[in-house]
Amino acid sequence: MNKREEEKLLRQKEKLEKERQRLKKMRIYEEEYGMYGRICGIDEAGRGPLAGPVVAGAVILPADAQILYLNDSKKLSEKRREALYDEIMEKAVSVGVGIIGPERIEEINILQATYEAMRKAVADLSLKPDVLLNDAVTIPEVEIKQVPVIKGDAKSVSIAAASIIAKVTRDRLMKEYDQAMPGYGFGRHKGYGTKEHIESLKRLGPCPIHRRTFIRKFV
Amino acid sequence: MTGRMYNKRRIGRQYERAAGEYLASLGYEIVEYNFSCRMGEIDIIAQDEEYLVFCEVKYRSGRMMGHPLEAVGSKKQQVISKCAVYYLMAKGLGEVPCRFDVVSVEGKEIILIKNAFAYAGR
Repeated sequence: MNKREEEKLLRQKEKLEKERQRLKKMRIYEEEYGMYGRICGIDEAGRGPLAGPVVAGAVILPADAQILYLNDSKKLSEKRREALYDEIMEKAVSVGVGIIGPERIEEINILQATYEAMRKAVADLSLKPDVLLNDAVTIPEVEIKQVPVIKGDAKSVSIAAASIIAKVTRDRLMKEYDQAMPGYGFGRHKGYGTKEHIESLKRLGPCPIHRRTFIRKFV
Repeated sequence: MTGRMYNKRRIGRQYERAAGEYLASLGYEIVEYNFSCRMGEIDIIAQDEEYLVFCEVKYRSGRMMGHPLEAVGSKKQQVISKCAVYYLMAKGLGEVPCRFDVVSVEGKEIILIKNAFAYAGR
């Protein structure tokens, strides 16, 4: 091959190596708590929106998992997230999902609903984990050892994987809701308080998946 | 004539508009240009799906030396972050996912870096 192709290949190899190094740094918590047994990452999506469910993801990754470009779901494009979702489903030892709907959120407040979703996600796993790596929180009423990690979805592969499962699951649900309840733009803003959403809320009034206590100041 | 040509503010505005049009072509919805508060200014605020994006526009005439991100140093990142928080408060926006992008306008070439930096407001 000519010089240009050689240089291109070299750059690609360098980029790949850089990515492997970055991923390696995200395994420090997994390595530190490895002696406890199976490690499970937990994260949630949908705490802030004005509508829709809150979704928690629980992911147990194998110790040698190499999922390139794995990162906090907020840092990834939708396309990348969707691709990683499939890869995680394929490579993970076990994946659990917990979904809590708007009516329940109204009953017990969003924080408790988030905890409930996380408990459901853990219960949904096919294998019981020995340690939970959480993104910043400690879930009440859980017997398993928990390690809260600040900014965990950017620091730990397990938590990042859980954040992707939670986000993609929730986004897909919101796209379905958009079909059933068009006009608000759920497919775009996923229920968050964007200008489009607030305007459509004022225009059309709330729909069944709006969280009444969240929208009080707009309607 | 000379006064007009070297009016940095005007040139800046033109490049910001160009950057804004580029973002719009990618599907962003421009919310506001040049939001200013006591701490400083945010060049472009735009909506990308569920993300509210705070965007810094950097312009260079001709060939640029160095990465556009180097032009948005830690101090600038802090200022933009603080302004972003103020914006959310001023508009009465609750928990909205946010992102910080940098657009570099280099002559005719426009480069976008999504998620250029994380919140740096301390």
